[in-house]
Amino acid sequence: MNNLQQITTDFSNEHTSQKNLWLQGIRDAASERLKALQLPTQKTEDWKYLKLEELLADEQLDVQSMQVRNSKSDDDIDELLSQSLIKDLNAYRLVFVNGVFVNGLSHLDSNPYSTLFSEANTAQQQLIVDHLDTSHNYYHDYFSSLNSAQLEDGLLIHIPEHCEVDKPFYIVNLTQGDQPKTNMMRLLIIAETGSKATIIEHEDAPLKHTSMVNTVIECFVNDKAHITHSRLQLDESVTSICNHRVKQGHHSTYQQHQISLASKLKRNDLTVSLQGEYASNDIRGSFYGRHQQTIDNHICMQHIAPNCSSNEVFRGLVDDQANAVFNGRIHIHPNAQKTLAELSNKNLLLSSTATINTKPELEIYADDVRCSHGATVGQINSEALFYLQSRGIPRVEAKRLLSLAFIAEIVEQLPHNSVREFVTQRSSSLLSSLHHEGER
Amino acid sequence: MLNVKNLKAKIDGKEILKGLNIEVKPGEVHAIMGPNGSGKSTLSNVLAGRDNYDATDGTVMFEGKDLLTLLPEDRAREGIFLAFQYPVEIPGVSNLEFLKTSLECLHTYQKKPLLSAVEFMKLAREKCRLVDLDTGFLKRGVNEGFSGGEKKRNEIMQMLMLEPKLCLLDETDSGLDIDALKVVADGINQLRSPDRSFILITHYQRLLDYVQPDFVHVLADGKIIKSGGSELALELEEKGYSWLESGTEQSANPLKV
Repeated sequence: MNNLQQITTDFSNEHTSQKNLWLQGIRDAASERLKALQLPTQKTEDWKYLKLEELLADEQLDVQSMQVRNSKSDDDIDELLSQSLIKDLNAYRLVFVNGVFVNGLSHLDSNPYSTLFSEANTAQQQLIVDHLDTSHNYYHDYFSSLNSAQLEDGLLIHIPEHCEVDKPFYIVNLTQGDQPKTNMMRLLIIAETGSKATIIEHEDAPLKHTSMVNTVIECFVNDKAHITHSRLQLDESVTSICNHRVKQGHHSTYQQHQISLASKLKRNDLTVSLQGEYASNDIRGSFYGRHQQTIDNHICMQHIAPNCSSNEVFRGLVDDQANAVFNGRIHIHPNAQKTLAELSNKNLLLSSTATINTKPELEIYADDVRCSHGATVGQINSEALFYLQSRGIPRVEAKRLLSLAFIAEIVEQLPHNSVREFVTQRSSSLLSSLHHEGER
Repeated sequence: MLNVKNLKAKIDGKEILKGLNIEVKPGEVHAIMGPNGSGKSTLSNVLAGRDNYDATDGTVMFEGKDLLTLLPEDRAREGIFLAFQYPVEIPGVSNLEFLKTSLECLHTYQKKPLLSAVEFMKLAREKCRLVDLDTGFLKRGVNEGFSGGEKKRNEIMQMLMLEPKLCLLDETDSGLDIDALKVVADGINQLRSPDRSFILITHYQRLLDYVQPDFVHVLADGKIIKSGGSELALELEEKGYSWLESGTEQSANPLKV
């Protein structure tokens, strides 16, 4: 029996949290679901490219719930932050270190839109209970159920009707020190009718410390609301499983930019439900894996209402012996006429031992729709490589330039100059370590 | 400067160059002409070091170094520049980034002082103007969406930036209108100096109206079958290549250059 299964069993039998009793209903329902679930195996279609049990075998999966620290930060955290934060970003900052919310480093008081579950007032508590675990049919999902079953705290971002938030929310998740326990992260975003906000999530482990994080993000983008959401997963040492669900009302827009570095295991599940007419969804992502890393991206676009549009563009760079998966599914329900849905995934294999499995899927039950999907796997263009070399640029550097160029389309569309520059600089220095022994 | 002796080269197992000899001294401009399929582009690609263009026999010495053992980037750093017949489009890499990286690589190798960002920009803008390219192009992807003429002018612009010792121009004149041809010729003439040499590979006399070569060679079936002064180009323009190819006595006794 895997550590993780052991934990689950212990947990559902014994665990009774004293914290935030008003969440007990959520926990109980999830515990109940967990009894029928087990760790996915390769026989599960959505997990078939991963040897999950092997990948998680070494993880110490005792669970560490989200916590809050009210004190000011200590020096080493200050140091860590100054090294890793995006500079010149005027934002409502919300900082977690090892899953612990650090009040002293966050702008919670000056920010009327965010609260921790543990500090929610009665109305907010009601809002949270009304929304958590309602965004998607999650019954088959083991990890998000595990997250809910152990839910003690979380972060709520609630944007009132017709409110346009003046600056972005900058949510930072840092890992510092090797963490023996699994952190549970929970984020609930509710954008009320006609509201508008930008969210920037930044996960990092600048000192390469290891941990495991199980994250659940739920976004409710109500009618005519507009959310721009950037997710920067820049930690290469953190094992991460993230379930992200988005539910959109009519005439709403949700734009996501995702930049992901692989790690021992990084699994991203994103499910979007377009439930109101004329909702529009746009997702741009790039991922990069090297060494023996694994990254597994699953996106499921549920077109439920008519007249909605969705566009997904993903670029993957896979090097060394890394293993990457892209599974993009567009599901058009019978009622979703006049849907416009596009999906593109292009991948560049930088070594002959890297693996990419890409699986675009269409499932269409309406007859008046326009859909396209495509996936490619290629290598660096040898003509372009020679062109750069013929100008004195060493092969390794030429490869770096061409790799960056491949994801440039994604990076250039990141909102905010400072975010774009930060990501460009990080990816540039990361790719400069590209090297291939035995090749010329 | 460049000494090619008995060079033989194969592409995909087929012998294209069959014992080619040419010597280029500093300051000289050589034009290589010849019919389609004679091996002109193969020669430039072998000299620049493109993959799959394998020299099977002979030697190529460049300033005393065995060129064939060098990587393409090292040939460039030694001072060889190939203006491509078909410049590659590289979306996502800006011209600016490309030129800056290239120049830094060359200057580092050649132990020249690196340019500051301001100096570099000034130089890049100046060279753009010389080849009549809008400086806005610097921010665009390398050759991305460029017309044929713009691509060729970009090659000349790079040549002006990098100041190589030996410039190989592979049919840089083909597909150009008369204005662009003049721009290309001006670029070449501007760089002409006693210690810089050129090999112009071309089909036509046209370019040579603007750039006066010291020597003209005719390449046919993988060998240089005739060499002469600039008047040879005019003769070729008039008579075509067939009179040379049929006359085997010419290939048996090539002119010494």
